[in-house]
Amino acid sequence: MIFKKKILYLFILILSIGVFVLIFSNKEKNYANTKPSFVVNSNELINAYIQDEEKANALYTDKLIEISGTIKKINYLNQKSSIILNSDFNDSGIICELNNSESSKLSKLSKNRKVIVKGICKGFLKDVVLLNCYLDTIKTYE
Amino acid sequence: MNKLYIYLLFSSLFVNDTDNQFIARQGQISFFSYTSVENIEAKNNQVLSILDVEKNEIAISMLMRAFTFKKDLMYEHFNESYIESDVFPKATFKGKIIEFEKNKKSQIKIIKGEITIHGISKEIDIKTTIDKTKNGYIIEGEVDLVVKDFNIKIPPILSKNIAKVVSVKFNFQYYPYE
Repeated sequence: MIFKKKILYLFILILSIGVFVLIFSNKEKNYANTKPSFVVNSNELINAYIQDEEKANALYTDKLIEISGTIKKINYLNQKSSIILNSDFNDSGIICELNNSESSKLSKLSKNRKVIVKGICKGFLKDVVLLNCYLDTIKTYE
Repeated sequence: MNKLYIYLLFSSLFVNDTDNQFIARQGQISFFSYTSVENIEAKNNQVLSILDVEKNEIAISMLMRAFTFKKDLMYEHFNESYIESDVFPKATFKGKIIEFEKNKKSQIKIIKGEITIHGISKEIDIKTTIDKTKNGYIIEGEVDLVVKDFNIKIPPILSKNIAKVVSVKFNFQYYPYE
């Protein structure tokens, strides 16, 4: 009986450590299967920021957004991969910093390829910046 | 004749301008706060900077919400309570590199300029290393910032968790302006 109780305590202890680790782990949030708040194409998004940055910020900043566009450049900097999307606005693009789990998909991508990217919008400098991005493989490769 | 002259003048101005300008679209800035209670570290890999090697000027702009932290709670406190990113979404710096030599392979120089964080501007001097690369420049360095200079209010209960002086590191790789 005492033995059984001990096992139960041990089980509870392991479970609570597990929960603790899960809650406080340093992992980036996984948005791969989360429904985006907005679905836009690259030009619409940049245009929104150029027309009225404040309004666009209120609408898009810190939201999960799905964007369709074509690849201008693929970069690897500071242990992070990112994709820059083209736009009709000569100086601006969309910088999508990828979640580390997505890097394996990059080898299949090349310049001017159409892609669908989902990530958290952070605002606008010369480019719109998205972090923690996921590539939609099904739509990307069809 | 006159028109041609004006055209040439303008086109040469334009060419000159872009020739002297270099851009870093994905510069890195990180900051560190060390206390006995906890260490806080944040990174931003998407900092924009433009360097003009004729005027020796440098401009930097970054999104505060693009800083990533180890814990979500740190991100929340930073953006919502301290920086108030909804009101002040960006931090900027504008400065001049003192005695910059644009053809030198490697040099250590002081950048004098004005930094704006949380809507508060302050004059600062930053010691930097500038390296010339094949088609651009790399500028890196470190600067210490005093938290209370920028009117950032930290509740007394958390004051032990956040350093009074935060050290900021930066690294920019510049390419010719397209």
